[in-house]
Amino acid sequence: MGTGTELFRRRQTGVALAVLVAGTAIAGVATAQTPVEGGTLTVARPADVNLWDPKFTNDNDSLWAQGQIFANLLQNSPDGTQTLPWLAESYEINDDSSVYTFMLRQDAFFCDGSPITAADVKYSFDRATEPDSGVSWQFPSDPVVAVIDDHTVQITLSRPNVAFASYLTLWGSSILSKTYAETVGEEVMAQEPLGSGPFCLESWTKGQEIVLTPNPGYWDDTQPYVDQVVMRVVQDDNARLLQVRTGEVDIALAIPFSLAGALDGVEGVAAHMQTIFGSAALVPNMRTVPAFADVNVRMAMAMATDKQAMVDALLFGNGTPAQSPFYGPGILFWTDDFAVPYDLEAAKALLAQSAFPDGFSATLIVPSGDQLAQGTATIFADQMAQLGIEIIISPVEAGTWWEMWSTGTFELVYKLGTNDVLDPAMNIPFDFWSKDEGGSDAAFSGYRNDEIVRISMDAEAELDPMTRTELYRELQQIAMAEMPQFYLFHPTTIWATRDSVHGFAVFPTKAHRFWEVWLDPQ
Amino acid sequence: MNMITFLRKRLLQMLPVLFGIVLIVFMVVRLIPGDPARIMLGIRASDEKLAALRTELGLDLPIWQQFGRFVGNILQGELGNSIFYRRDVTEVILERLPVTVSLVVFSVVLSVLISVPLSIAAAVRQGSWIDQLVRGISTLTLSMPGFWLGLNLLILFAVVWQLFPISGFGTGFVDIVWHLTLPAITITLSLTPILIRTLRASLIEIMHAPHVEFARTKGLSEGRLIRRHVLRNGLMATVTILGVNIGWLMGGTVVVEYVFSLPGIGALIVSSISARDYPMIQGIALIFGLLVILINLLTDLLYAALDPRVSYD
Repeated sequence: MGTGTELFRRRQTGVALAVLVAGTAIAGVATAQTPVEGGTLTVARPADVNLWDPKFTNDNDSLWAQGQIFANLLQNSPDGTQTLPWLAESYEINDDSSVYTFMLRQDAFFCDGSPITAADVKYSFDRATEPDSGVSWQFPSDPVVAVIDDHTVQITLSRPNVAFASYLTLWGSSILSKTYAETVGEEVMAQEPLGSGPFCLESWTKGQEIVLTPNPGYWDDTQPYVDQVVMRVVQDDNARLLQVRTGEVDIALAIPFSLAGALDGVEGVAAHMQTIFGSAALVPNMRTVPAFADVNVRMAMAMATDKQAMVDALLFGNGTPAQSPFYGPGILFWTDDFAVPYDLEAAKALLAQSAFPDGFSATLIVPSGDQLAQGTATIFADQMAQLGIEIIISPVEAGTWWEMWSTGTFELVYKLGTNDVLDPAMNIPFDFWSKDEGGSDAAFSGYRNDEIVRISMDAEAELDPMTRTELYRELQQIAMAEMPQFYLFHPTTIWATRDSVHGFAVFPTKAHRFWEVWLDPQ
Repeated sequence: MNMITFLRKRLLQMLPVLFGIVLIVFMVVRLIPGDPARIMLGIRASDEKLAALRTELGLDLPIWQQFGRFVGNILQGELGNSIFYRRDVTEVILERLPVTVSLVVFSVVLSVLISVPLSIAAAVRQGSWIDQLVRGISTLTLSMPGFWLGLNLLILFAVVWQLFPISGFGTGFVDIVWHLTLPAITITLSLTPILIRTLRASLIEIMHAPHVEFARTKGLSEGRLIRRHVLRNGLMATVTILGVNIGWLMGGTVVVEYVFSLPGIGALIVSSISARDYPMIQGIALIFGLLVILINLLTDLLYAALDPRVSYD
C-alpha cells in the first residue's frame, strides 16, 4: 500500500497511473502475505447508520454499513470489473435475458443459524419492490420472483434486460430473513437486523459506535479474518484524521481532498485514493432557459469549460475530467473517443452561430455548504463569463435544492451522481429517458432524444457484447454531440489506514468490505 | 401568593406559549420548499410512488387537517413517527437529549465555578493587574470561534497529551464526565466571559452602593461584606444571563457536538431539517420550547430565593 508521500508523488504522475498503482499495491499485499486471523478492527466513519432496513435506505453511510451484515445473490469483484456469484453459487440466464435462475448456496446461514433459502430471497425482493420502497428503482423491467425449490429462485422480467444481474449487487437486493421479519416486525428489524452476510450486528450505540462480529454461519470458513469490527462515528474530518494518526482507529474513511496532505510523512499511516464511478455535472433546463434548448449554445458552453482546471483547483489533482456521459473510465462500454476538447475560440465561434450570439444569463443552483459544488460553480461562472454568458450562483439549502431540481423549477443545477454498479444502464433512464419510458424527464431538464431512448432500450436487451458495445458507443457519440448535461469531472475518494491494516480498499462504487481485512498480530 | 399557586399559574401560562410554538413551527416547516416523500424515496422515484407515499404520510391532506391530527396526537402524548428514521419521534429525541442536557449542565456548572471567583477577584481589585488579566482573557476567549477552539483543545489534550478521548459520549458517570470534559470546556470558554463581564460590572456597582458603604463603615470585614451584601445582589443579573444562555445552548451546541462527535440533539436538528422530517422537527421544537419555559420558570424561582424582596406575584 502507498504511503502519504506516495499519494502526492502519484498526483504528479497522473491520476490514471495513480489508480493503477493503488490497485496493484492492494492486490499485491493481499497475495504476497498470508492473512492472519484475530484482532479488532476500528474504523472512523463520518456518520452513523440511520436504520438497518435496506428498503428505506437512501444514504451512503447506512448502506455501506448494511453491506457488512447483509449478503446479496451477486457481488462485484474487488477491482470492480466483474459481477461474481455470492449467495448464489451459480446462475443461468435464458436466451433473451428475460429469465434469470439462481442456484443458492446450501451452506449459507443467517446470524441466528437458520438457513438462507429461496423463500427469503423472494420475500426480500417482493418487499423491496413494494410501492413505499425507496429502492424499487433497483429492480428494472418489473421482475417477478418465483421459488422453484428451497435453493432455486427464478426471476422473470417483463422485457429482456442484460444489465439486470448487475443491479443485484446493490443494497436494495440484500437478503433478509422472512421468518425473522415476520416474527419481530418491520420496526424491530430496522433496529436489530439479522445478518445474512459475513458479519452480525453485535451492538449499536446510536450516534457513537457500531460493533460487528463474524457470522458463525458464513459459508467462507476463512473470512472474516478479524474477531470484531468497531465502527466509530466521528463526524469532524479533522478528528477522524487525528484518530488515525494517534492509532485510536485503524482506518479513517472520507478524508477531504484538502486534508490528505496532513498525513504526508506521518509514520505508520498512509493515505490512499480511488477514482469513483461518479460524475459532477451541470444540468441545463431547456424549459426555463430558451438558450439551453439551442444545441450550439450547449456545445459552446461545453467547449468553454476547462475541466482540468476544475480538477486541479478543486480536487488538488485527485480526479479526472469527464469525457463521456458514463460515470467514469471503469464503467462498462465507456469511451473517450467523442470527448469535447477545451477550445475557447471554437466555443466563441459556435456561440456566434447560435440564436444567442450576445450571451444570456442563467442562475445556477448549488446545495449550500457543499464546498465542491460551490467551487465548481465559481470556476464555471468565471469560464462562461469569457463567452459573455452570465452565470449567477445561487446556493440553496439542500432540501430546497432537491425540490427545485426534481420539480424542474431551476435554470441550471449542479449534481454529483454515482453509478453503483458496473453497467451504465443504471443511470441511463435517469439521465436520458422521459417519464413516459419510466425515466426522470431527462434529469428534470426536459431533454429528449428518441434515438438515444431507442438505442438504450435495444442495448438493455442485447445479448451480444460486441453489438452492445456498438450501441453504447453510438449513444455516447450522440450525447457528446448534443450535450444534454455539462459533464465535468470524476472525483476520487480518499481514506487513511495504519500500516498494520491489510487487504482494505474502497471500491470505485465507494463500497468497502471489512471481512477481507486482516491485521498484523499485536 | 405562595409558591404552589405561583407554579400552577405559571404552568398554565405555558400552554398558550407552547401552542404558539407548535403552530409556528408546524407552519414554517411547511412553508419552506422541500418534499419529505421525494427526499425519502430518492431522485429516481416515480410520480405514482411519490403520490402513494404522500398519502401514506398524510401529506396530501389539507393543512388544517394535518395540524388537527398533530395536535390530537400531542394531546394523547404522541409526537408521531419520524419520516426519516421510521421510528417514534419521542424515542429518538429521548436517546439524544441526555447527551445535550449533560453537556449543557456540565458547561454551566464549570462556567459558574470559574466566573464567580474570577469576577469577585476582578471587582474587588478593580483596575489592578488581576482585573486587567481577567478582562483580557475574557475578551480573548470570547473572540475565539467554538469550532477552532474545540479543535485546538482536541489537538493539545487528546492528541499531544492524550489526557481525554477525541470523540464520543461514553457510558457510566465517570466515563461520561471524562468524554464531556473537552466539549464542556469549549462551551465554558465562550460562556464564562459573558458571565464574568455581567457579574463583575454588577459587583462593582453594588460595592459602591450606599448600603454596602454603610456596612463597610460599620466595620464589616471585606469577606463577609462580599458574601452577605455584594455577591447575593450581584448574582441577580448573572442568573438572568445564565437563564437566557441555557435556553440558547440547548439548541446551540451543534458545532461542539459536531467537532467532538457527540450524538446530541444539535446534529439531529440539522439532519431533520435537511430531510424535511416534519414530525421530528415539530417534536424537537416542542420539547425545546418546554425546556426553555421550564428554565425561565426556574430562573424566576431563583430570583425569589436570592432576593427576599421578590414575591411570587
